[in-house]
Amino acid sequence: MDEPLSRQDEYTRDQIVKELRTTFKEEAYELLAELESALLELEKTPDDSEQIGRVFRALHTIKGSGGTCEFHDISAFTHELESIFDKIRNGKASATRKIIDLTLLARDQIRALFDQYYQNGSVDEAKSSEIIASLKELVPDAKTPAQATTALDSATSPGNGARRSVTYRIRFWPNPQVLVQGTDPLKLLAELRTLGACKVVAQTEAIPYLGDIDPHGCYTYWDIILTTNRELNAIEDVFIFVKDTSYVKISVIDREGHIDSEAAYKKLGEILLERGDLATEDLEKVLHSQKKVGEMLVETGFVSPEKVQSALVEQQHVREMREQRKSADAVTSIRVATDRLDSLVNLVGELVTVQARLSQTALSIQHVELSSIAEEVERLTDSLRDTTMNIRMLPIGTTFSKFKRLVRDLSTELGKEIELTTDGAETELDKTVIERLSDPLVHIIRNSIDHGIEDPETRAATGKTRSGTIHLSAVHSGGHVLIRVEDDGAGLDAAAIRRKAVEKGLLQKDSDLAENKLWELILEPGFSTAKAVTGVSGRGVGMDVVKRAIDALRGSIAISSTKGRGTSITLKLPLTLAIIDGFLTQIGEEHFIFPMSLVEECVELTREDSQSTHGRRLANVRGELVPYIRLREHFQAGGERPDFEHIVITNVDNRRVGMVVDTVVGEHQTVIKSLGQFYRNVDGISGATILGNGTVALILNVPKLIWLVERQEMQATRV
Amino acid sequence: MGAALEKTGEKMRVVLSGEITLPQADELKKTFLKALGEADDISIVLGNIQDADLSMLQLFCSLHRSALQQKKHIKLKGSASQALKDAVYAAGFSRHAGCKLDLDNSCLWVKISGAHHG
Repeated sequence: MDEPLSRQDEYTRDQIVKELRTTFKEEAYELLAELESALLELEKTPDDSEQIGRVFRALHTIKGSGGTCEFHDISAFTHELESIFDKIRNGKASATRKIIDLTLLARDQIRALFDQYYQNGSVDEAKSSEIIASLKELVPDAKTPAQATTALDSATSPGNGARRSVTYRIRFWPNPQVLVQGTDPLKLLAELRTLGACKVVAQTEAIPYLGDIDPHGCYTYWDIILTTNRELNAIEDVFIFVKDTSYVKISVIDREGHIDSEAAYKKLGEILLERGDLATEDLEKVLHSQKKVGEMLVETGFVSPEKVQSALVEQQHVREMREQRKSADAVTSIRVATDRLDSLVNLVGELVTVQARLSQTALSIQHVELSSIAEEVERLTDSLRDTTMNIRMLPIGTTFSKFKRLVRDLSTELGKEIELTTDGAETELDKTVIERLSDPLVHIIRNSIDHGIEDPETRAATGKTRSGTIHLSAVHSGGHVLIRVEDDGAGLDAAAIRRKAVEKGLLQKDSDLAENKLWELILEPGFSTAKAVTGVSGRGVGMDVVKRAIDALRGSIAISSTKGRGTSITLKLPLTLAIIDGFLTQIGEEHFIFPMSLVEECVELTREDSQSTHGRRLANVRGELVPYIRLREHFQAGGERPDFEHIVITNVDNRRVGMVVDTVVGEHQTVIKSLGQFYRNVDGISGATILGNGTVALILNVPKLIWLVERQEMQATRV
Repeated sequence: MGAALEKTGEKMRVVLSGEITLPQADELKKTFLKALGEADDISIVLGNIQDADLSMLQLFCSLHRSALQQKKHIKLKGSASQALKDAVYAAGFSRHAGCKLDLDNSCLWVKISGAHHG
């Protein structure tokens, strides 16, 4: 390694920027959410210095990190906004509604700019200058908050600071004539040191013996580890006059908030491999030794002691930086890329399936020792599954906050006064569920704003407060989360719904349908009683879309409403979509799984029992009549019906309904696999799973099954 | 640059002082060659160096490894001046183990950096 490295190895600037941008992505959107939420709070209390500070900090961080990642347009735009909020912060201007409106628009513009980079979105760049111009009219002479920025940087922890620090590894190999050409490399190193925490290790192996040395030549090259919150440009500027004649390689090795930000860092061997100072096969040769890798590498002569030392310096530097950050952050948490989490969950899923096979095999061959190992594996798998599932849980509040903006903008557009209150924002739910819940909730809240809450005059005339309220709440209930959207608006119009249902042939003219059943009709496709179609809702698309989305999440919807008092829509959702406790049953050769959370008990059903009810499908369970559905018939399963069947009694929305199966197998850890396109529309089935012996079992969508059978019966009675 | 070579038997004492930077590099090389040519045991006094740069540090390394190659001994006598310590730090020569040639643990930088920034 004594010869200068090939120029082909030189860093590509684009790669570094790309890497920085990737690690910033998630944080960028979080900062936008924080900005929005701070602005909405500020709107309520325009003089609250804490909220002004929040807005300022969010802008400041977006500007700073945007700069680091070379989002120059975002950085410049945010800089202007920051100037305006600096004035507000210093009491030279106040946060009027108009300013907040414009800043919210600006926030959307920043989002569009981020989307442009991250999601190939398009952006109207002229809008940036329009927003700034309008803001400047309201807050003239907003100047760069240079001083303020410095104060903020030093006053806040790195977590709140503007630019997140990045650790770079720099290899600087000046050309041998550099001293004669009038450049002192030590000056460049000194300049680098001014940029941040810096460790410099000179590599002197190439210095020749006294007889051969040219006293004016440069034989040294350097490994520099630099942690800085300055832009990449600042580092490049140091090398600007030598970059064409020297070898300069810059790579990012650590970043504040990076997904791997735990105190541990790469192993020595890894660092040397990355640097190109060690060959993989050489590393493998020393890995099995009892001695330390560094010592072995030097002893065997694979790597010089100086290179090992330099790698150790890097290791120590990054560890120190991480430790510092760790103690600066009150919360010890790490950021993990979601796809890594998803693959972890998939692996756990596979493990659960294999574990089921192991348990089953151990049981079938009746091997005592194997059985006890299988039990141990089962116990470990269970706790691994629970831990993994917990990692995926996120507080639903992240979704709630974005509805505040929705309510604000929409109510202003419609001339209504509506306040959104929330409860249970800390309720945790699987991240996939949260992601897929957002759109349905938007539909429901839009409906409440548009059709539910009346305009201020109407409300005042009926003795209500002028301002309406939409209350969004989340609460755990067993294996489910209940998410409720309640409004104190006009309530659903039973007569109108009935009329519309008859018109659409969903209901007979004189049929007597309980109110709660009536409300469910609004979930039918194309069902809208709105007299006017507005830009917001009333096209009859929406609630059926909501129903489909919630069905897909294996959840259910309950609606209650009182005329003049308001409407409440409750979504009941499973905590997770990946693995559930299931109850395995069999009909003929087919296996079916009930979600355990719905199963209450099992009772036997003999041929005599079913005959004694004269064809009415009712079972007498300790004096209580429970209706049941024959799954064998419903799924047209083959084989003979046995003399003794079993009723699995489920509880759906406080109603007990039995499902008749041939045999009951028992509890089963169910890893949910989605069904292929072909089976997606099979009603009453929500997914499939693979059993221990490799066969497929179908997971029942019990609420849907009940709904289907009831509907069939309703149609039958109509005929 | 001041360079005094004091020879006693097989031992040589090299006393360096003043400014030793690029313009003095040729002279320094000559001094070192002379010292190495005349003695097996060389001790170097660096307490009065007022300025040093990369060229000097490289020449020191070169002297040291040439001496080791010729089975001669080099050692630091007394402590290095602050200016030299600063140069060692600035150039990233501070270290706690010598290079692969430094079999007798006589690396000057190890000794100097022990008293400097670590």
